Formats: sequence, structure tokens, C-alpha cells
Amino acid sequence: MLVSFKIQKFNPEVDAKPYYRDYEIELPERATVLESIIAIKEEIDGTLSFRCSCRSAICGSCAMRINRCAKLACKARVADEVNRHGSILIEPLQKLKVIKDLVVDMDPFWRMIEKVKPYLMPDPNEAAPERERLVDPSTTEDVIRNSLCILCACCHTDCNVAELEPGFVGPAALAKGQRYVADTRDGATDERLKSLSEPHGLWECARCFACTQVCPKGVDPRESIRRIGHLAYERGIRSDEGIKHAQAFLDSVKASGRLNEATLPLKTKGLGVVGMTPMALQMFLKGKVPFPIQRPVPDMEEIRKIFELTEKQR
Amino acid sequence: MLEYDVVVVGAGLAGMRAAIEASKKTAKVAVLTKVHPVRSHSGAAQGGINAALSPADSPESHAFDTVKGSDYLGDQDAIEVLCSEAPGDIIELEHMGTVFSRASDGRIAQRPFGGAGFPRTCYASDITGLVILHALYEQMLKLGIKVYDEWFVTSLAVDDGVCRGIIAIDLKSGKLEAVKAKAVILATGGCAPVFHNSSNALISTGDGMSLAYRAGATLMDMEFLQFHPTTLKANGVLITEGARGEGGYLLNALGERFMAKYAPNKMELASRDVVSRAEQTEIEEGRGIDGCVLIDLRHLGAQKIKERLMQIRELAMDIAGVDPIEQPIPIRPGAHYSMGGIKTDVHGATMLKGLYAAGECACVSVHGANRLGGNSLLETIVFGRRAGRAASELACSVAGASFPEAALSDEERRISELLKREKGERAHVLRKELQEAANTNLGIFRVAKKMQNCVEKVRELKERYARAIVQDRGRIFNTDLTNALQTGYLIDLGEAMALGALAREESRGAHSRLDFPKRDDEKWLKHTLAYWTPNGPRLGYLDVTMTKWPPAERSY
Ligand SMILES: Cc1cc2nc3c(=O)[nH]c(=O)nc-3n(C[C@H](O)[C@H](O)[C@H](O)COP(=O)(O)OP(=O)(O)OC[C@H]3O[C@@H](n4cnc5c(N)ncnc54)[C@H](O)[C@@H]3O)c2cc1C
Ligand code: FES
Repeated sequence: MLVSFKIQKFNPEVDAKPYYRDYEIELPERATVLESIIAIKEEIDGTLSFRCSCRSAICGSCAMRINRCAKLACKARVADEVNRHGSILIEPLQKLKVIKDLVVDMDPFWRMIEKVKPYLMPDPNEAAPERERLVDPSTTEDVIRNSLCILCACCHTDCNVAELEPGFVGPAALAKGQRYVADTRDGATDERLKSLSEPHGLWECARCFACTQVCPKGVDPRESIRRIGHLAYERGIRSDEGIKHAQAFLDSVKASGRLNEATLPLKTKGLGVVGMTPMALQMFLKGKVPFPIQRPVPDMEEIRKIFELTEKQR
Repeated sequence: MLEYDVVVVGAGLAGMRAAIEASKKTAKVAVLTKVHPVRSHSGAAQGGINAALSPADSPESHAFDTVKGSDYLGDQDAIEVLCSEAPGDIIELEHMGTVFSRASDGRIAQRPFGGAGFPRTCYASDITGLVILHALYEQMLKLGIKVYDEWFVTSLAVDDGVCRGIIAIDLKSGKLEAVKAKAVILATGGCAPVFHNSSNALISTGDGMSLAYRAGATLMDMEFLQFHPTTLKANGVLITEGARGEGGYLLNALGERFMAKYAPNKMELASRDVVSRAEQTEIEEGRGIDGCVLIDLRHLGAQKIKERLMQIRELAMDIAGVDPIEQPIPIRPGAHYSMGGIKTDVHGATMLKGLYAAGECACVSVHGANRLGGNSLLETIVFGRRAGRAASELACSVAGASFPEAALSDEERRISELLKREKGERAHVLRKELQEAANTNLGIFRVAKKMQNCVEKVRELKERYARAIVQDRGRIFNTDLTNALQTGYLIDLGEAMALGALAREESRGAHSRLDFPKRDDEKWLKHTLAYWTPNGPRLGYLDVTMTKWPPAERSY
């Protein structure tokens, strides 16, 4: 099949800014995007630059934006892209500085991964056994699921929060964090939970599920984030605004079946709410501040049942 | 100029294990790698890593299986080291945090693998390489070992017969840099992409083997290239031996488990060379399907497949469009692993002073004429550790000598010449012709005439390569340039393979000749050595080290 590609190019040695170049190439039916750009590099444009290595979705090198979604080029099929989008647009991953064409500077991503102390920290008071540490196989599900992560940065660079808040540690790092939190051999669970709960940590996640959707390996980072959040809550690690916010949500719905947006900031931020005064004033002037006293929803019995049921299912 | 005690080239399992060990003796350790460490090809290893952990198993029986698997070409002293140190190394990996699948008693689970008399392959589902790669990388972070990632090494600096450091392109800046070192460890992985559609990564281009060879270290046993029995037709991507270890069947077009004819005792779990030959015979005799045979996993059931073979299920669905829960997967033998490599002793020392090698680029030799599945990951760990130790000991015992000044400017000249050259062929054309020639003439069954063709073809390619061009003339992240350099490495190695194979007039392990179908211990129980000369490799031979196991007939 003859396929058209539009690819973002940028060579810092000659170009002032990125531009798009069109290519057209004959490809076999089941070609992947990676095979296609390799063919373009070999047959049309030797300067086209991208990373690739394993061709089998395991090394994480070839992440790029394909039709505006972060994907592994070696896993994305040309035919699928054409069927869905009519053509193929390839751009570098978002948020990271472009080094050349589709090659981005991954350093900021690696720094985020390093933040979660991604190595085993056994309990220092326990001597290492002579043999392996024993692990109950029924506890390894989360560890294995998170271990599937190949650090391709698809989730990180398509994360909606990281877009607004570049300091957010991001879904890949948090999944790595859960890999160690869930590991029964690790002795630093509380320390990890505390640090993962700090500002720019897990509570900054907006629960949009973009990470889970783009992950090419089925890691489900959002689920990892939920599980560390849950554990932190259970272990009483509740000092971050994020978790207070979640608690305030819960309390409000439990009390009235409604979200009380007027009292939420107070409960989340405590005295820190004073800092929000200018915004609150502006909102008030525009009639956007809701009345703090709310009538409960008519059928509170239903709400109570929902809470009971969730409690039971945990 | 950057200066270190120990420079490790390569950040796969062997390189990182070496660096971690070296850092115990000296803080001045750096790792250089052409891709970020977690992108290294070790991460693609699926099936597992061997060690006699069970009280019912023993390092001796692991060693015997390895010797037999090697078709008696492996050096038995090295094999004894490998197998006796394996349990300790696995426990150490576990203590570092490596994730292993577990048995119900909480111990590391082990699965059966080809050519093994006991289920001794430790694994993490079918992502064993990935979890060990990450564990070692994370240890490197913890220890703060310096990594220069996306530094592409183009040559070794040798002075007075001693390796003094390396020269590399920093891909992100495009600058050529010299790094001085008291000891250099090469851990650059394999070279199966001499063949078309190998199971290896695109970056497994034998760089270190070629660099060492050009610098005066010796290559050994290059003709022994393993064909893995189960690779996908479309692009050579691997279906792990673990699939047969878990009980998968190999079927021909008639639906027969044909291994009954070739290895009635071990069936699908015979040694890889045996299984690959059986498949090729079935295909050539007309009992294949579209150039393939089938691996059938359906009887294992959905749960086992999803739990223990999740990655290969995904690969089969993505690449072949087949869900192994419902259909058998078409597979065929494919180039997979280089038993040969840079000749080293059991401490990783090469024939060139100051230069060490470990992992797939090295030839200790523990695999001889045929490697057992699960022994390669083990080799990277055991001999990576040993090379790290020996190199750091050397570095701590010698004074820093000078770096040969001209080396950097010579290399700069060579690379700018290549970048400026105007008329000629692009390197990928040559790479494809090399791969085509290797597949046609140096495959599973070999004969003199075809191998001769291959030798001639490689010589022609060498000449054309001297005039090859690159299209990208820039400096920053120039992968057109690195591809061209990699093609040069592959051509070097293809020549050593073809010549070694042509000279060896017998059949042993992966080297199987139709014109000399028998193993010939009288004449050929010896290693092939290849020394670089301007006119192509000069071959030499070396006796095999034997300790306990005299050569015996090999059947499965
Ligand atoms: C698909 C597949 C599955 C496998 N499964 C198993 C298995 O289950 N069990 C088993 O025992 N074995 C298995 N093997 C074999 C085993 O994985 C490899 O032999 C082993 O991982 C090689 O490790 P290494 O550290 O030597 O090299 P690699 O992991 O290949 O690392 C090479 C390193 O060298 C660097 N490098 C290379 N050239 C340069 C250069 N010019 N400049 C700078 N850096 C450079 C690279 O960046 C990389 O970091 C498998 C192999 C394949 C292909
Ligand atoms: S090339 Fe390795 S993930 Fe695509």
C-alpha cells in the first residue's frame, strides 16, 4: 500500500524552528510505523532521526506522537492509523526538548523516575537471609504489573497534569513507586508513602486516566496511583492537601449527598485558604462562589447505601 | 580529557554488573553506552536464567548439561565456574531486588528449559531480562555510578600493546571525545544481525567484538552462531524457549509432534541446535507451512499463558496476528546468539592488556558450539562480575599511563572523511546484502561451496564499504552515521564467521555441514581463533580445556 506521512523535522544545526515534511512510501500490509520510518530513512531521507532498537515493544526507545497520541512506533500499525485517521502524522513526544527530529531530551523524565528511589530498601534491622527472601506468590501481582513498565515515557508526556504542572512527578514514576511499595521485601513502605504523598506527588493526579489509556504495556499507572493513595490513607499518611481534599469530598458527600464547593478549600487548605482570597473575591464578583450552606439531597438513604456497599466491597 | 580507572562500554546486564563490582574497589568507574541503560537488549530476554538452586539439583549436573550442550567445545574450567557460582549470583540478584516468579513455598520458581536435566531456569513470567536490567540499573542509581548514555564508542585507544581508553561520539552534542582509562571492559552484546531477520535488536551490531578485533584482541569461535528454534516469520522476533519449557508442542503441517523423530527422549526440550535442524528438515522436506512449523500452546490453557507467557502472547498477536490461546503460532528458526566473541580468560581478560570483555561479546568459552537457553543471562552476571573485579584490581595496581594523543585526531579525520564523502553507496544497502548472503550461505545447514560464496561476497562488501557514504552530514544525533559505522562492524564479523565456518570441516553444535556431517574430535576438538590483518582474518586454533567430562556421543 502507498502511504503518506507527515513528519515533524528539526535539525538544530540548520533550522530555526521545527517544520513538517511530507513523505510517500510503498509499504507491506502489516507494516509498523517503525518499519515505515526506517524505510523512509533508507530510501528517501537519510537525515530523518529517531530512536529505535528492539522492534518488539520492550526497550521503550521508539515512543513518539503518532496522530497526536504517544505510542511506540514499533507497536503501532500503519493500516490501523490510516483506517482511523486517514493519514499519518508523526511528531516528537510532548513536553521534552527536541534534540533532533523525533529525538527528545529524556533527562527530565529520568530525573522524575529517580525521585521515587527506585531500588529495594530492605529493613536495615533485618539481616539479609542466606538464601532468597521468601515471597508469597499471591502478593506479586502488583509488582509484576508495574515491572512491565519499559519507561518509554508515553504516559508521562501525554499526562494532562504534567502539562499544567511540570513539577508533577508523573504516572511512570508513581507506577515505579508502587512497584516498590507493593514489594513485600521492601522495608521502607511508610517512608515511600510519605514521600510519594508530598506536593507534586500522587495527589496531584487528576484521575483522567490518560496514562492508562496510552500505556502500550498494560501497566495501568492510574490504578497504581490509586493503590498507593489508598494505602497512604489507610496508614494515616494524610497531611498533604491532596488527601485532605479527597477527605473533604468524601465528608461532604457523606453528609449531604452534595459537593460543598464553598467549604472544600477551607477543609483542604486549612488556614492556607487565606492565600486564596483574591481569587475568591474575583469569583464572588462574578457570582461564582456557591452558598456555603446546602440542603441535603432528597434521598439520603440511597447515599448511605452506596457508602455501605463500597465499604463492604473493599 | 575525561579520565577513569575503569571504563565499561555497554550497559546491558554484563556491563552494569561489571560496573557495580568495579565500583566496590574504585570510585572512578564510568559506563558508556550508545543507548540509555534500560534500552539495552538484555531487556528483551524472556525465558530465564539458570542456576542449580534446588537441593535435588547440583552445579555439577548443570555443568554437565552445559558441556554436553556445547557439543564438548566449551572450556570445562570456565563452565565449572559458571555453574558453581550461579546460585550465589542469583541470590545476590534477588537481594538487590530483582523480581522473580515464586513457587508456592515462596522460593524462586524454576521452569524446565532445553537441554537441561532439571528444571533450573529462574524467571519472572516472560520478562526476565527486563526485570534484571531494571534491578541493575536501579542499583547503579543507588550507588551513583556515572553513566554516559548515548555515547557511541568508535574505537579503542591502544599504545604500546596496552588499551589506554576509548574514543566515542557523544550523540547529543555530536562531539568526538576521548576517555582515558586504566582498564576498559567491553560489554557490547551480540552480533546476530549479521543475518537477516535475527531475533536481536537493531543495535546488536557486534561493535565491541569488532573494536577489540581491530585493536589486536583475538576473536574466538565466530562460526558458532545459534539459530533459535522459535522466531516469528515476519521479523524474527523471539518466542521464548519458556513456551516449550511450559509444555508447548512443535507441530508440522501434518499435525505431528515431529521432535519424536529427532530427539525421542527430550522431544521439544532437546538442545536448540537439534530442534532448529529438525524444524529446518521438516520445512525443507515439505512438511512446513509457508516456510514455518507451528508451536502449539493451546493445551496449556488461557490462565497459564496469561500468567507465564504474557509477553509472547502480546507479540504473537501484534506481529503474527495470532492469539496463542486460540491458535498455534507459525515459527521458524532464526539467527539468535553468538557463541563466539572476544577471547577471554575466566577473569574476563582479553589477549590485549588493559582490555576486558564480558557478556555476549565475549567468548570465555562457556557455550562452546551451542548455548543452552538460560545460560547467557547467567554468563552476563557471573562473568560481568568477574570482569568488573579483575579490571578494577588491575586499575588499582597500575599507574595511569599516557593516552595516545594521535588517536583522537586520527579518529576525527576518519569520521569527517566519511561524513564528507560525496559519491558512493549508502551503508544500509551493504548491510542488506551481507544479511542476504549470510542467510543464504551460512544458515543452519552449511556446505563448502556456499560458504565460499559468502566469503567472496563479504570481501566484495568490505571493498565497497571503504567507499560508502552517509546522507546526513550533520553532527548532532547522526544515526545515519552510526548506522554506517555499525554496518562496518557487522561486515568485519561476517568475514570472521564465514572464514571460520569454511575452515572447520566437521559438524558440531550449531555448525552443521552437509559435506562433513559428523563431529570430528580427532581434528576439530579445538577453538578457532581469528586475528585481524589488513587482508582479512588470519585463523589459528587452540585446544579445548577439559576437566571432568571426556567427549561422548551426544543425543537427546
Ligand atoms: C529476544 C532474546 C531473548 C533472549 N532470552 C534469553 C533468556 O531467556 N535467557 C538467556 O540466558 N539469554 C537470553 N537471550 C540472550 C541474552 O539476552 C543476551 O545474550 C544478553 O542479554 C546479552 O547481554 P549483554 O550485557 O552482553 O549485552 P546487551 O544487553 O546487548 O548490551 C549491550 C550494551 O552495549 C552497548 N553498546 C553496544 N555497542 C556500543 C558502542 N559502540 N558504544 C557504546 N555502547 C555500545 C549498548 O548500548 C548496550 O548497553 C536472549 C536474547 C534475545 C535476543
Ligand atoms: S523499538 Fe524498542 S520499544 Fe519500539
